[in-house]
Amino acid sequence: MNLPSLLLEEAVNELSKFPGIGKKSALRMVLHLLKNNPEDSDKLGQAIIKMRNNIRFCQTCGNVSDHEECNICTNQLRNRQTLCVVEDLRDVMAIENTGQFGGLYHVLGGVVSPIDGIGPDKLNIESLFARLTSGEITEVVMALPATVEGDTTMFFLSKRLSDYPVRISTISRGIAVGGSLEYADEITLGRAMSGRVPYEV
Amino acid sequence: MYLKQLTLRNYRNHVEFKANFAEGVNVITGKNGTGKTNMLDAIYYLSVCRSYFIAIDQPLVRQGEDFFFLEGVYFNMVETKVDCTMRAGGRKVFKLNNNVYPTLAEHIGSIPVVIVTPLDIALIYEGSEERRRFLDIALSQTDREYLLALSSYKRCLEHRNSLLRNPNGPEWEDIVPWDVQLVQHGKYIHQKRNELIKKLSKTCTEIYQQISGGGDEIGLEYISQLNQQDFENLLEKGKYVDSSSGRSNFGIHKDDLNFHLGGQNIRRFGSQGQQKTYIFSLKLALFKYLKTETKKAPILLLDDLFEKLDSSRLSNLVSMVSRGEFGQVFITDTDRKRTEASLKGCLVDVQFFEL
Repeated sequence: MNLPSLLLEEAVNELSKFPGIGKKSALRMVLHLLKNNPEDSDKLGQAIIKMRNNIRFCQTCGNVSDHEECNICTNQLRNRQTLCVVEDLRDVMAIENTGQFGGLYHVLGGVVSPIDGIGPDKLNIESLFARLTSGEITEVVMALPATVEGDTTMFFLSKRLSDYPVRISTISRGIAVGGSLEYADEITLGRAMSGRVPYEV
Repeated sequence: MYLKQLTLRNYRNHVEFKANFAEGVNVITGKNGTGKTNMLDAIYYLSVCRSYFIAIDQPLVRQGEDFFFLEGVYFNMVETKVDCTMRAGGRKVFKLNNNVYPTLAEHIGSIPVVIVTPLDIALIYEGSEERRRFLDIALSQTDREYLLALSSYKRCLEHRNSLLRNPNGPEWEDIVPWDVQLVQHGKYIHQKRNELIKKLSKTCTEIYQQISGGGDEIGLEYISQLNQQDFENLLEKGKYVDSSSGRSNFGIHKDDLNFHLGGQNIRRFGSQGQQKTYIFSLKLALFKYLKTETKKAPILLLDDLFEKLDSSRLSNLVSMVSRGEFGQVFITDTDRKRTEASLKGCLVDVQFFEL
């Protein structure tokens, strides 16, 4: 793309590094900034810089946080016996939004994937076992993606977790709520059938 | 189920092609290079979401154009329309009655198809990969779980191999979790392949006898390291070999098929005509398997049917086809008179197309 100004080009190049943003979308964003007051651009720049410089990752669980420990870990009203292991920050937000889980989290920061050079040592795993030694936690829920990498990570974790006196569980896989069976893909429906549960009213 | 109407735009050497077909036998004749095989390939593409001849999609777009479009109207009690648009540099989009399929896997298998071409001789002459591909395409059309198991297996294998390539020697502790999944998917794939071969082997022999008029004894054998040994044991025993070679030497990715003729390998001991008869029998056995499993008669595509077979084998084959055993059939040939003569007395509708 040929742009009439080097300043414009630099801004477009930086913005187009975002996931899902191409050169054209980046240009639209830059032109939007130009149309508005210069203060708006200042505010945006400041917000980004402040966020990047001051944000921290919770020392206990690895979630994003404004302090040394995140709001979830410090909240004494939460169930401190149940721990949910997730791949990344977005999963914490997703599960929090369900309102169905009142326990604590542990963010691995990824899943095991040797072809991308990610081994267990690159993940936030040792601190997970450190948390278990106190004995307060009685159940670990593994909420990892349903991919071969997610499955392997779960297997790896479950082996190590068997050394600790905790219950190990995983989230169920199956039919989407409000979904009609005829639209579920066969594999999901098959898994839902083989993993059926006793009916309770 | 049969293909009622086909439209091609910019597919390989076709600019624009549209035809209505008979429910019985359709014969496409024309000189070399007029696009007979490409037309069969387009029918195949609409079923399997890929070309039989070229693994990647870009070269299928007619030279100088930036897209191709295929549309098939099928009839089975009701009409269904399947179309595919492939733009250069983009991804192919498959639609069923104008609704986009979220994944291609949902379409594969819904319109079963079997193709027989002179290039199938590669099954006999090329490496074991060709023969595994034959098994995989057959099973993918009948078993979606197989398709998933196969892609998961391949992915686990990639991860495992990358751990084996560790310059400081592999860490077996890291490999074990991958082996668990490799074993789970591998055993499933082995079981399904084994079942398929058992079914194909019997039908294949029967069909061979019908075409050849008896005489030759043939056999189809599944060769797999998992036949004699447990997969877990194989991996355990193979640790040393795997770590010194830096890749996985054991598993269903080493499977093969053995085609016998009179107790000998057909590649070395069969004549070209016998080999061709074998391939025909194998493909027609696949047809019967797909028909039983999917409860739909697959569309049968016969490319260059009349090459290399002697006249008695040819007439046996044609009489099988013309008795209507095989549902809708497409035959290509360069010589219209020869086909007309062979199909004389055919019990089903025959329609001729000249390209």
